Amino acid sequence: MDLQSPTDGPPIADMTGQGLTKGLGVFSLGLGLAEVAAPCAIARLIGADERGATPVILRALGAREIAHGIGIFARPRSVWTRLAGDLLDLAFVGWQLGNRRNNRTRLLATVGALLGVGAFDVLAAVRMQRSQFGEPVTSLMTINRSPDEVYARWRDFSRLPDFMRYLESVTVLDDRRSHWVATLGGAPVEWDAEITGDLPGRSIAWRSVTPGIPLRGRVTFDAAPGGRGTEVCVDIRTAPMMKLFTRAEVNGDLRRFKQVLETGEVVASDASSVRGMHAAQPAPEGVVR
Amino acid sequence: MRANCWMGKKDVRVETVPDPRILNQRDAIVRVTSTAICGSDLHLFNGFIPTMEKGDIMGHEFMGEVVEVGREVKNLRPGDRVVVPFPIACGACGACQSQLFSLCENSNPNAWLAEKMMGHSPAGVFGYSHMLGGFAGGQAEYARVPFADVGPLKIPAGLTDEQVLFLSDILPTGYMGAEMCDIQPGQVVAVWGAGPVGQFAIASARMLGAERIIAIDRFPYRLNMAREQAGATDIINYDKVGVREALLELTGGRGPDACIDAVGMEAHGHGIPYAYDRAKQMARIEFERPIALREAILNCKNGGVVSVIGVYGGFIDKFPMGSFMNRSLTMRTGQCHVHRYMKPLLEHIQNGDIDPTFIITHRMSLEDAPVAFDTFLHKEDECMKVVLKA
Repeated sequence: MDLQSPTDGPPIADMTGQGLTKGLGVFSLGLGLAEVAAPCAIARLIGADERGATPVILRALGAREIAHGIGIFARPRSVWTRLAGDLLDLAFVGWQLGNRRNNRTRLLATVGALLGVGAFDVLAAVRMQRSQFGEPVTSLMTINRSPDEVYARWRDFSRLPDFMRYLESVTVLDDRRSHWVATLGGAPVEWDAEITGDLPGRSIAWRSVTPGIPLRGRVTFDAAPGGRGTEVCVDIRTAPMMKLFTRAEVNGDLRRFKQVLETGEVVASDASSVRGMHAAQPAPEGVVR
Repeated sequence: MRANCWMGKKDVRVETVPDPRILNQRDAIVRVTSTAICGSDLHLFNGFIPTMEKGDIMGHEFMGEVVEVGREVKNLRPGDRVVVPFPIACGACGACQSQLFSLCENSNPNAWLAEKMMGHSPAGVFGYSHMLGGFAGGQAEYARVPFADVGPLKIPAGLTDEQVLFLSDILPTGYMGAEMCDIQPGQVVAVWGAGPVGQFAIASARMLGAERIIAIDRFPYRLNMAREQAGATDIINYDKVGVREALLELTGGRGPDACIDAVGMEAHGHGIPYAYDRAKQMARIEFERPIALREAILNCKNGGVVSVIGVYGGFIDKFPMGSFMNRSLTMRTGQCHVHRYMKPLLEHIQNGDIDPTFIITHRMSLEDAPVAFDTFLHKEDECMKVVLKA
């Protein structure tokens, strides 16, 4: 089993280009260190003259490469600055091509390699630019009810606020579209969502279509082995600023979902009946939410 | 209403607090007629259980009269007399359907907190910290009982409160401790701790057919009760004699077939090992003082069973894993799945197989709860079990 994508279907995590960007960061660090530590060996490798100013220039390019590597890990979105570095590298190799004593075959191969890396840089930059999503939040819960029953309760979007605490309401507009109202840090947030996948008894996928509110969700329902009901797996992808969907929050939603299905309603204790710190004793009249 | 509240370490006070109300449709409100102080309440009192908050109502052993029920409670009516099991269980989740009621998957609204400390969460428990749900306890005039259609046991007329009150916790807990030993004819069972749970573990081991039952404690009045009332055949006062030597002598050098730890996290002992654990616990480096548990493991017969019903809260040091592994021991443990024992044990009480009232030494008013805690903690006046009348 691939534990990076615990459910079947296309893993949402790969759409951001984050893996590619990190790979390029590692590449920058490795190449930069090699250029700084052994400029003469690098010069021979790419077919340039290892005498004169070449090692000094290679060291400078190496330092730039290291700075890029660090920059990418600090701020992945800075990956597009690698393109400027690629141009500098190409200019250097072009200049070397003018020197007849150099190995033209190796230099041309180097140009090819640089163009290849440049293509990956463009791809990563475009993906990072397009993606508004942070890390996915995944949560799992086994519910002692059949997949059909569990699916049906989730598919009834208008009743999601029963167990998703931050939701004020969900209004179903038609078969595919719905309007969601949530509270984020005391302020209301609203978005329209559309269903992007719906396999009765198996899975539901949806996404926000409101500009500025990036949100994708998917929930799968699998029969648990041994007749133990349904394994529910929720995957939520959203912008890091959408603090509604932390792992703890999504896990709490699932736990309340389980309570609703298995016991009929969300279970309250004396302390949980009131928000915030509260002694385990009945709340005075009027403060129960 | 009036209720006994945890106000901080070694500080409980009877305060006036709001009356409980129905919060879920499967709740009942019970007017508490009798409630007891459990040995595990002393762990809360002494500040060894994390996530207590000032003002928390204590108590998980209680019974009383139903005064109000939620819409979904069909089996109870106002006026019914019930004993309430201390773990809160929904009856519908996988754990409940496997009869593992103290592991109910739905009754702890603070499961995330328990998961952080324990990996997965057990059931919610009345009056036993926020990690176990933040439920108000039963040392009060009234209590809200969630899943009242699953937990509370109706008590037939003709039985007194004192005869049935301990069905809420300590009688089933002691019974489960003995049951987990899987006692065969001719076997020897040793019980560490002759407090109320230890007494009932001894009495249960007797009902389950143990040949020899050895009680281990340091208070003569507790050891005497174990022998004269619970049914222990032998007693060991560890203040007077070495436990190991005594157990070897009583078992022909084999060690007991099964060892029950009815002590838990605040064990007492002697010498440097005890001072070591006490110091570490005070410095909060170690949660527990697992002296009885270590002793139970080291003294158990090769291939024997160690049954742990004493309460532990966190991590222990110097666990004798080498002895445990190399000698093929088995450990069985758990908070009692009270629901599955209540009815059979009620029958045992009705048949006269056991009369649980023998452990009661003190009867006090709810208003005297702080004094009662002090008396129980310091074992003053040969205190074994305090019943509070609300």
